[in-house]
Amino acid sequence: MTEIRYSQSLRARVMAFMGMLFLALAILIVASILFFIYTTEQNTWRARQTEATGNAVIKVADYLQKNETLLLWLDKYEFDKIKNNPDILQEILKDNPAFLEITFVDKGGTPIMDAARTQPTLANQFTILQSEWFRVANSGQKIYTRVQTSPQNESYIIFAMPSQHGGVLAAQIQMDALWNTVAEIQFGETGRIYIVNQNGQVIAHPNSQIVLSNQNIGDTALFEAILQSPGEKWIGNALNFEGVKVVNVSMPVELTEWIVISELPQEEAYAASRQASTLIPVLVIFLMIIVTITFRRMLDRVIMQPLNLLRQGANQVGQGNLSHRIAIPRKDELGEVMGVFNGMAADLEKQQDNLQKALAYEYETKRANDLARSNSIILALSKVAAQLDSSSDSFEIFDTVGKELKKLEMDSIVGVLDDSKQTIQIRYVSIEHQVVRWVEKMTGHSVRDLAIPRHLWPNEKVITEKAAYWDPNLMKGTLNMFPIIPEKLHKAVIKMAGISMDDPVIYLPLANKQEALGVLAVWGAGLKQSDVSALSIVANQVATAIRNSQLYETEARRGREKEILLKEIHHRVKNNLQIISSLLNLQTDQVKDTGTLRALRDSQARVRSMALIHEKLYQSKDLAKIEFGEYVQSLAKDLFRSYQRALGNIKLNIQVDEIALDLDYAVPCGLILNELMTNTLKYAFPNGRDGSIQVELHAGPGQTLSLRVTDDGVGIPADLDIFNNKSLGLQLVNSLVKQVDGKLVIENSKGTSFLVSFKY
Amino acid sequence: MIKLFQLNSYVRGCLSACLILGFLNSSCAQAPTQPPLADEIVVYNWDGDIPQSALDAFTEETHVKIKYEAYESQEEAIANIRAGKIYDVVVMESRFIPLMVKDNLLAELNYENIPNFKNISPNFRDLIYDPGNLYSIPYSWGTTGMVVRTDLAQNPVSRWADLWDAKYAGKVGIWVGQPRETLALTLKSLGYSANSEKPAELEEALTALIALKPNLHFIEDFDPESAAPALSTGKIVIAMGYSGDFLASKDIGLQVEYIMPEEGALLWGDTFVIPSNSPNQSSAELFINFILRPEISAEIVNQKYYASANDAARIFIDPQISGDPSIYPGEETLRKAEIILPLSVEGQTLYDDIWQRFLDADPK
Repeated sequence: MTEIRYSQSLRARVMAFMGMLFLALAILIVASILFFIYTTEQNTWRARQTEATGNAVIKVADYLQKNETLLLWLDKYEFDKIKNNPDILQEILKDNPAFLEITFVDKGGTPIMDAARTQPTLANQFTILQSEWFRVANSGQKIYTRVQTSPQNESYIIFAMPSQHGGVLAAQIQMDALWNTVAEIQFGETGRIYIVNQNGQVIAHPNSQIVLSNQNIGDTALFEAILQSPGEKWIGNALNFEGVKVVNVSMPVELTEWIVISELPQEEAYAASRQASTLIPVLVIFLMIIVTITFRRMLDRVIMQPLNLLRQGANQVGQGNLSHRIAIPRKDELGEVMGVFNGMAADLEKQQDNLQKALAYEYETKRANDLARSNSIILALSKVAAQLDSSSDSFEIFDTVGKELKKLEMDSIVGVLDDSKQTIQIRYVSIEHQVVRWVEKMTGHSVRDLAIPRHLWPNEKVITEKAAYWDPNLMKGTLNMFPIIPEKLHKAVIKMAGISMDDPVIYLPLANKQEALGVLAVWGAGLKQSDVSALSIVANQVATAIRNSQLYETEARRGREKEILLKEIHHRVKNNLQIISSLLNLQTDQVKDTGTLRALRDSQARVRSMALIHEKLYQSKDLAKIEFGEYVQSLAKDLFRSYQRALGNIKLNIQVDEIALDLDYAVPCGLILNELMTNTLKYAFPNGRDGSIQVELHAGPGQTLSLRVTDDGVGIPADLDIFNNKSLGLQLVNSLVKQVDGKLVIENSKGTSFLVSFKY
Repeated sequence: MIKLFQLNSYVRGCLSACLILGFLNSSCAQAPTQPPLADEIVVYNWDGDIPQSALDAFTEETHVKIKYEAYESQEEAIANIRAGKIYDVVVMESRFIPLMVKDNLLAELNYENIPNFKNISPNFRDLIYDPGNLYSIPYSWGTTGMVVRTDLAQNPVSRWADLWDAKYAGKVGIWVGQPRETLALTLKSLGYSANSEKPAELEEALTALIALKPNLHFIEDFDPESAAPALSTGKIVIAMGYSGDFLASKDIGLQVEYIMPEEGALLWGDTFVIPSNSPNQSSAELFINFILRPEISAEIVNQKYYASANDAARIFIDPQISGDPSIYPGEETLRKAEIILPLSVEGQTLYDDIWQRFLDADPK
């Protein structure tokens, strides 16, 4: 499975998306919570602070009111009394520590009554007439002056009011008491109030230094905002004198020009918000981390894992592993998909099976067809073999072969090498007579005169190596084959003959063991490369025919027809036996059953061994007797060769005497040897066991023959009864030994040894 | 490679931190800072009114240099200020302040820089011309009375009305350059308020003055600075004048007395103001605060012989000066005295008109 790039990964994208979502959610939650806390806190504090400010205002007003009330009372009720008895004023002063001095001043600005705690300030002022307090009070209004500081740092204000009796009643009020009052007013942990007048001058403040240093908020934004607010009531944030951020609530003191301002440090006002602003995000982040982890797990388990299984499955199927199935753990949508996938894979597997079966069937069918074809070719051959004898004219042979092949929709030409071996003479053409006549007319040559010089042979290897040659295209190889026939005519002939030049052609050598005799060319539209083997047999027949006729011609000149006939018979018999062997071989291709197969092979071997006898006879000088020693050698080697591949490292040792045997003994003996050797080769060396086989043929005194096959293999199993055995091979041996009146001796130690001896 | 999830929570953490903590983060609070001191301030005053020693002491302590510019009259000073000339500290008579304030020519004082204001006498605080002392700080004050050549006066002079006494006809001097005072003393001689704006009373005063005119000298004809030269000639026996004139006359050996008239002397007051176009207000305030130090104020008094509004300075003042009634008059006198107060706009017009008519009047 390929590693999916991170930027393309679905999982990554989903996680990223969800991550963003969670983040946004987290931010939203945090923001909402904090906002809620913030506004709640703010509102709560503001309400509280407003209340406290209101209370402060009341307190301050009360404080002032108290003083004013006293003075009013003095003016209204005690004026005359005081006039008569100034000490009363002193008493009053003593009882009211807020007052530093009380003065009655007449219209003209002259003090008439006065009492002072220490030095009279008001009474001693020589600029009363020019004083603002006097002017205002004298004109009918009461007035509080700015806070004044004495050189001794005592703070006071002057309060003046018009007297009922004309003139002015003025008092010096010390600020300490007011300051104390103000300082006592607190709310929350750090909230406090202070008082300013209309000019922004601080009249009272818990920090008396601020008053003493004449702090003024007149030109601050705070003060401006206050003045602009309706009723001088204002709530908002500002910096205080120490530069601390505070929440301010302002409220005027009625009937005065004073404004009470309460301040609550924002640290306290927003303490909860601040705390929350660190706590809440941490909590929410933590929560979101958990949510993300959980989500990731779930994503993996519910979606990614099954997806990966599907990926794997698809990969496997894609690579051809159709038996791969995915385990289906669930019944949900993905489970369904996985089930469908499995079903799909199963279907594909079945289809593949079917396809394979169909292909196998097709292949089998084709093979069967090919075999059938080969079969029919060979059958045709057997017909030919049946029809021919040695007296047959070679042309007759060719014609018969040609006609049979024509029935199979194949055309043929037979060419024979001349004595010089440099030219091929055309001896037979399967084309219709009319066409042949026409060609002969056109060219002025008989077909039999058509000769192909060596350098124009389409494929020399056919002759030189006696190997069949398949050419998929007839035209290519043969265009200039006949120098006598001009090219145009060549083409015309071809057309006339109805030969398609695109047809494939097989060139087969006509040869015997020693030499090449010529070429058989077979072509046809339905020709297949696999026909070569069958056609080779045909070629053999044809070659035999040629040879025989040559021999016959030769021997006929010599007058040794009889020998010829005999030889021919042996050869034919051999051929026939070979045909049988081939047929048996073809059968083995059709048979799948191992038992049957083995039986067929055994039969084949037996037939071959017989054919070999006839071949030897055909080749020997004495046609009635066979050189058996040579035969034993050939057969033993042959048999050994055919079983060699299935065996381990086996040595074959052959010792033969030269014995001339006639057929009556040669055939059975040959068959016996075949059985014994086959047995040894099949059973003596199982599992690749190494060993050696000894084959001995000795002539004994008095025309006795002993044939011995020895091996150093595993030996015959103890329970095997040679003589009464049901196996065909052993039955045959026994019967054959009886036939020749011989003896079979078996030794079964350190291997096995079979000894057959008989008189011949 | 960081798994996206990890990246996510990392990013998340950072983002949250930034967002949330930034949410509540406001700009740092900063305590209000004082502007830096000026290299030099311009002090605009009567010539030599502040002793150099005081100026030098200030410069030495604060490294602020003082450029001292002098005017010859209040009117000149005011005209220059109105013209836009830059001064940092101006000594201005109290009566001119309201109009200047009305025209936004004076800066509101920042008392955080003038804590020594507490030294100012209650007599000079919160007066009508500048309620609450928003724009001015009292500096020096004095009386306007009469300086009399006792050796040439037949009988003791004790009243403003004595100026009209036939005995002294032709031997009376007034400062024609002081119309307010002249009219004020005339009003007082008639028993009216020195600051009266009543047309009837003013007309009466005008009549009286016109009547006096032929017997009148203008002291400026003798010397624009001081009445002493005029008195020394003997041509003027009674001069309207200030304690300064009295002391100057005494200095040149004249036998003179400073008379606080019974009707009530006139009081004048000089104040420090800072024009609103001064670029160095805090440095100017620093200077004023410096002057208000008891010992500095005392130093000025000891050298200039004008009373200071600084009560705390009293102890440092030369007892001879503080005991000198011409400089520090007694209580009785002070009670009877009247400060020349600013006139209303209409009043000013009236006064101008009256004075003009006086000046145009034909002396017989």
